[in-house]
Amino acid sequence: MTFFGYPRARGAPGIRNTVAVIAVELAVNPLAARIADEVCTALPVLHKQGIGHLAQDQDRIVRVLRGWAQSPNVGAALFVDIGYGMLPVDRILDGLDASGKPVEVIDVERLGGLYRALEEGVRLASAMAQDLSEQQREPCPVSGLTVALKCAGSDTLSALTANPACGAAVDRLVDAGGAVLLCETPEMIGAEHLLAVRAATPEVARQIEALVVGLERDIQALGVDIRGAEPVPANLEAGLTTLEEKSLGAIIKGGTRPIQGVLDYGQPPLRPGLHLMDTPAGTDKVFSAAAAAGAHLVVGTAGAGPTNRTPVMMGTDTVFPSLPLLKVTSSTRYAQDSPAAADVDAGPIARGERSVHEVGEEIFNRILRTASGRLTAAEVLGRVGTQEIATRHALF
Amino acid sequence: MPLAIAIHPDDNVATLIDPVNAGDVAEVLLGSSRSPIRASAPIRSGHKIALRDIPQGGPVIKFGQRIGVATSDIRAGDHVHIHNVAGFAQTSPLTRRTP
Repeated sequence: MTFFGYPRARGAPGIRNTVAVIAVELAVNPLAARIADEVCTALPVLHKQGIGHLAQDQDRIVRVLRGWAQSPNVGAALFVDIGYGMLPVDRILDGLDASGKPVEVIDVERLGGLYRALEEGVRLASAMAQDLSEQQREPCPVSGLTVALKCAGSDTLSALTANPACGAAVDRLVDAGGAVLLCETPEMIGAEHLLAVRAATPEVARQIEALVVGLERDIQALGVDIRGAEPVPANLEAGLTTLEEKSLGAIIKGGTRPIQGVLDYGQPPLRPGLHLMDTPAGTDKVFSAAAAAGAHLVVGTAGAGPTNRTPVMMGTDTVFPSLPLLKVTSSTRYAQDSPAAADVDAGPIARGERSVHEVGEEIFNRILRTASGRLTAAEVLGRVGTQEIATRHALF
Repeated sequence: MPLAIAIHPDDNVATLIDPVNAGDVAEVLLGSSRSPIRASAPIRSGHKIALRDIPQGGPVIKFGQRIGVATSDIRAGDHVHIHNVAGFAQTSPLTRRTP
């Protein structure tokens, strides 16, 4: 089974072929955005980090920035730095040597100011874009694909329609040798026992318990009640009552296959199959981690409310550059309200008009078509903004 | 007839696909089996209806799993939501792990 992708010198093939202009820290966001503006097929990758990080968070942000460049959908990367040093570009590049793709760095300080850096950045990114434009899509095995999962605006139909259909699709992908990332640790609370029994090894089962119980302990230690934060108002309005109910519905989108490992935020999976990745539930924070972990695309299951009125999802205002979001709606009402906002409608499952298997096949086929170049509803929107990298402890 | 879906034979709640008024009879679908339930109150689509009586302190079961605990006596046909259910993560985190 194949799709048409861009073979890479090392690692998985890409399904997009972008020049990523990555801001090393927030102060250079405007410059990175301007360079990308000037160059066709270049996208700015901007974020809000760069100052006052404890070692644990610094490691995480460095890993994410490196991962963004390493992403299979990125054909070439240009880091834009200002030499501030809180996120040392040398550390970002260290692990990157192995990826075998064109990577350049410009430093505003070293180049003697903003205008020189802009000129040099546009020159480098233009050359990258021209080189990438000669690459052709070729048949690539489906086993090279990694798909991350996200749900948003979950309602009680999500667990009956969109999530089971998504689960059926990712089971197909896992069976074909692909990798799947089930994210959002808060939405595993109350469902961890069902995830743990699917662990491929006792060690992974222990990691799953530790991940979820650890988050609950952190919340308890703060002396706060998770109620009021989860389930979110749109969930409650739609009929979801407790976090356990939300979690038990949310994990259904991960399908039924064994869980091969637990990944830290933005950490790439080392083997195929289903993995859990430790992320918050916020959409933009999930996308940042998914892109860094080497995901090719995100399947998002969308329930009630605003998340279903726009091609992006609740919890974000932007699409992640070069990480297609494939949106599956839980109910036909929303698919009809905003037909341009969704890719696949799982609503007909509710009344038995279509089976979970049928819609799952449609999602799986749409994953392959998206991988071969078809633009998703969110991609057509085409706007990219500033991304969020989740940190554990913010000093600034 | 309004439709409600139960997921697991142990479930004591079902999800309404259609809205109901007090006194309406909804058809509860569990796999291929169908059974009626009379709603005691108006309930919006997407919300849950009790299939059996659940005493205060008793578990509310969906997916064959405990999704919370009844905070007051619930009668079959009642609307089941935050006014009469609390999650375990909300009441006694880390202690719910007895399926």
